[in-house]
Amino acid sequence: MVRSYSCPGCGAVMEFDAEKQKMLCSHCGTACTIEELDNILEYDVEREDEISGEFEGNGDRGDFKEFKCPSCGADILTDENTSATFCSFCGRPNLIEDRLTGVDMPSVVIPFKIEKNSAREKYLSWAKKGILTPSGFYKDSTIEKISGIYVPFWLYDYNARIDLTAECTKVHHETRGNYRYTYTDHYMVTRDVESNYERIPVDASEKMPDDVMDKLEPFAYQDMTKFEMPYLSGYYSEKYNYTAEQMSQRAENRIREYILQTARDTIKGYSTVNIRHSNSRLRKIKAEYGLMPVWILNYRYKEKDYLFTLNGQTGKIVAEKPISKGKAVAWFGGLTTVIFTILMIIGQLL
Amino acid sequence: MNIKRFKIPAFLIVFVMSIMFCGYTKEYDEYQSKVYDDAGLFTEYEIDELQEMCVSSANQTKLDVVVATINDSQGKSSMVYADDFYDDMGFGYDQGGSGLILLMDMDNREIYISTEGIAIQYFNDNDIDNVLDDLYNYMVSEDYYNAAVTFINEVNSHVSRINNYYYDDVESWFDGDYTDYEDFEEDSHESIFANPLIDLLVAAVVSAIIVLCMTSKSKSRMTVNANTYMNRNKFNMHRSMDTYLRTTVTKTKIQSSSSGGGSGHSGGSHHRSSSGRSHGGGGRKF
Repeated sequence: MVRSYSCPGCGAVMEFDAEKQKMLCSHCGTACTIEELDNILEYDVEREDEISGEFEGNGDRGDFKEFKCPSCGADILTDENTSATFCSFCGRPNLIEDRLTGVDMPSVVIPFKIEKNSAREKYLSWAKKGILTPSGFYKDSTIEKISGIYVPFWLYDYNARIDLTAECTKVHHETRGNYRYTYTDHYMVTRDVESNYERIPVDASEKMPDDVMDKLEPFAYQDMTKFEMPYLSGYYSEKYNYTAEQMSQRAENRIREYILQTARDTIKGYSTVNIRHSNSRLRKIKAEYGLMPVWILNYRYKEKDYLFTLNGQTGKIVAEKPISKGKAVAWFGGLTTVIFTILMIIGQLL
Repeated sequence: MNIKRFKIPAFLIVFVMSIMFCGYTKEYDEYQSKVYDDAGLFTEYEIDELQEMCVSSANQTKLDVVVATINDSQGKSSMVYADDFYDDMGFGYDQGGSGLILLMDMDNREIYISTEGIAIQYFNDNDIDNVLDDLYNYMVSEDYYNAAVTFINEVNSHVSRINNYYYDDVESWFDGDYTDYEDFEEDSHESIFANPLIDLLVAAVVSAIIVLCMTSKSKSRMTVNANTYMNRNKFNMHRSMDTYLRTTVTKTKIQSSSSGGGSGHSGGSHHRSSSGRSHGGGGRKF
């Protein structure tokens, strides 16, 4: 089923406005909170034609969904994971309900804080910056296609305990007469440390590159709220590709590192620390399914594809920027000449 | 003996030679006369013996050893005369003019030992006093030749002893620490930066590092760490043990400098002569 929200005033579609943190009708300007929306709820439901099974040559592509857009009647085709999208013809936001309910309902969501124009501004100022950015880059990049997407994440809670043994030394010096004495005290240090790690995010989407998603962290969880479908209106959204089980390996690797670091930090006051033996035990507490807001832009520059992502809540940018080889070489040459001249002058003066 | 007749031509030869050598790099000249007997205290045979001893001593100790006797100190004190004579004649085993002179001043009735260069380090005031003690008796009994012989022998034995027992100090004296020898021409060596090849290499490396920094700045970083997701309330230290095992000690020797106290052998006090050079030394009236 496809769901979208109509304005009680004028009947146009309501979208979630990141600035106001409310549902906003772009047509008549009426605004209301998500809670209020529940009361005056009116939504259009369109029958969908479910096309399941295989197309020829498409291997194991599961459920496609083909819908008729409630406003214009055009056929929308979405891939198996999309849970919120726009009609490609009239632009009306549509939420695919059965990918958001039941087992697949997210527990939590961090709504978008940064709205589209603001995201655009951030992109433009980022594109301009940089000593080694090619000069044509700013003009030639495509900013209209910036899209806001809710990325599915698994948020893991774990209990971790580590047993650590290290050889440490304390060094001090003393000078007596003609001799310098170096005293090295050797210690055996053990630590048994336990802690809980909460809401470690791991992206559950196949499409989103994991390392980019990791760098977008942290998401400020104080803005996290119980999931309600209206938040998604006006944005793309995806359902998870991988289950919590499948992604737990990534979470566990991170937690092992964290607990080791935490234990290591309790060893203080030594000149050297050598960890000889460590053993960690992890216990899964729970895994929550949540949606995190991300602004995304795919762009091309000189035949190469780049990805620009912006944390839709904190505004942190994780992106690759092309480096102008010409500029880099010019800087290298210029600096070498300047430093060379300075050194020559120093050499003559000394 | 016609020492007086030999005196003038001998003096002329020495004078000319010293003109040639003064102000030039000092290198030991064993053909230079090391014995100047203006007061006529030695026989010709004794002069030759003393000359040989001075030269062999110099080669052994690396210090120029000189003996001089005078009847007329020209109004100067023994110290001034000895210093001036040593400087004017251009004695010295090395760049610093290292050496000693024993002056038997019959005018002031004083024996004076003047040191220069490294000799100042070898012979402190105490050492000089000891030598003068030994010479005193010979001077008083007018046994001037043996006084000179004793002087040369003591120089030999003292320098040997210092070399054997205080080799650290000696090493540091010879390490180019010519702070006492202001007249010593400074080694003019070019700084390493005058070499254009080195400059180019350093410049290339430094600017490569800077450009690499610029490129890495345009990449993104992780901004979370072990503490971001940790629940501090649930943090629990179950066991924490720091056990002392043992201590290992290593010992390294420090090069001790000769100036300042401590267990080294410090040089003697020194003053400046009219030529501006530093001299050490001491005298004794007889």
